[in-house]
Amino acid sequence: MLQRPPRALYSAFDRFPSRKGAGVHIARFARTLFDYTGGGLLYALGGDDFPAHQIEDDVEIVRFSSPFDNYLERAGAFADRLGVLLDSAGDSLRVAHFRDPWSGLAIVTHPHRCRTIFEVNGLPSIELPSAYPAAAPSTLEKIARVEQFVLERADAIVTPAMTIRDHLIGRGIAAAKIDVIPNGADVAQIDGQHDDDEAIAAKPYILYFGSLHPWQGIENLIRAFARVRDLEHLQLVLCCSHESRQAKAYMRLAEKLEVAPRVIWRFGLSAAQLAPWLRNAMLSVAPLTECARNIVQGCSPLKILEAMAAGVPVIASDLPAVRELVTDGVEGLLVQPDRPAALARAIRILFEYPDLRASLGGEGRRRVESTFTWEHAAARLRAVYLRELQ
Amino acid sequence: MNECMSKQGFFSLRPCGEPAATNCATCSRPVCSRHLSPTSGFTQCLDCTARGVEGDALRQPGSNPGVDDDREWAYGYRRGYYASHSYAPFNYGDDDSYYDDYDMRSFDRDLGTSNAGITGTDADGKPDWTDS
Ligand SMILES: [Zn+2]
Ligand SMILES: [Zn+2]
Repeated sequence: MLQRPPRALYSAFDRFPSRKGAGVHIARFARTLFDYTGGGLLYALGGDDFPAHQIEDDVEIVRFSSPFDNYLERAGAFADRLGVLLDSAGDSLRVAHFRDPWSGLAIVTHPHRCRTIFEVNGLPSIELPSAYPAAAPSTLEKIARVEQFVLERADAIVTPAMTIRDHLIGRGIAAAKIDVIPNGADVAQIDGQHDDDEAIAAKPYILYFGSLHPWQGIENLIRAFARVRDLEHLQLVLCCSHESRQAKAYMRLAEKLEVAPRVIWRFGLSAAQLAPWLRNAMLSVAPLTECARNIVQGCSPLKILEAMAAGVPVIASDLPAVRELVTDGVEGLLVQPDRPAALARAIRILFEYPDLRASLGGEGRRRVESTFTWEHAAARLRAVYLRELQ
Repeated sequence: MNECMSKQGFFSLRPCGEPAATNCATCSRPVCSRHLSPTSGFTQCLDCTARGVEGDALRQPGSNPGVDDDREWAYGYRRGYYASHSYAPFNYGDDDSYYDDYDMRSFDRDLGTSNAGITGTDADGKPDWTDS
């Protein structure tokens, strides 16, 4: 079915393209790989609204399209389909870059040998319990063994955070084959397309943007906001993926705490629609909780980098992965996680000291420009390809 | 003349819009020559051909009693696949299955949260800014 024998494969158990952080990351990294190798095959998740096969210049895209409601079934069938694609790819394949153990299992066990690069942003055995609370420890242990099998066999591992690197070393993976490539952001320059009227009318406001997973800490944010309701006219804006059960629960919490009229919800905004909300924000918050996903495995929150790139001061939970991006008091304020009182105190400080806000915002933008642009990330990734493919 | 409705683009998807050469024999959408599949003998669009290839691969007959169609569909395929590939220690679906029904059940969608958002679980396909 493939029209050209691919020299490179980028495989992701994610829908692509998408506005999620994962979608942004895949676009940047897959493009870097294909620019390096002169094209290749991108294999990702699709569905009804996505073409199952595309040819875009030197890149061929195949999307797994069969509907499987069950996560494990979907993962298994996705990997099997990749195995068949690898059969048809032949010996031309020199490098396979994948970002999930399901792709990895098909790749590292395939008889055609090529260099394998495992991009570890998160591990299902640690991330799945928040979405599937019914998953038993014995089941998660089985998934962890698959991860381990792939981690041990991959030629190289790239990961966005030192915290994740340390976790992998703790699992017995050789430090020498792990490269840390921090996420990137682009210093905002989106203008015109969407006007700022709505955001300006909401000023002054605290901004949260991202998903509503429990580990994001929205509950603590709403509780903190209730503690600063005396700050005149201050509002809280939450730009989230889409209206869900969790959103309704948070709305009820805001009502119970009597701050609902000052909480503004927006759902399903595009990056261009989000931009005015971001650039007009007084400050942005990443109130991540102290849970296994954020602590044991680590994470690398794009939203923090994106706020810094926009010159907006950040208040974030003081977690190891966050300290890799933000120095307390320099590019933002770090607060003890899961403590609404501490978060409220930091909000109060930034509300009352505009000079501090300006200095944190300016330093944040400079830090992104000097260290965390997508071009920095792409250059680090190219260095890994150069080493692996020489 | 109708315009080709195949989607294209790398960073985002948009309709092709080229003048259609014919209609796809399977989905009957208008399709231009560039979006016709050579392997179908230029009768199908690329999308339909790829879905067909995937469906054929996954839809080999299975015979697991007491599992629903979806599961049987996948299991049947896997038995054939594992016979020729080497990740047998982690296989699905036969007597030596790595995951048992108990493991599988906890990942049925109604036991998960609605907008799980984790890699590959946002089954409704809505946009999300989940951190990577
Ligand atoms: Zn068609
Ligand atoms: Zn077309």
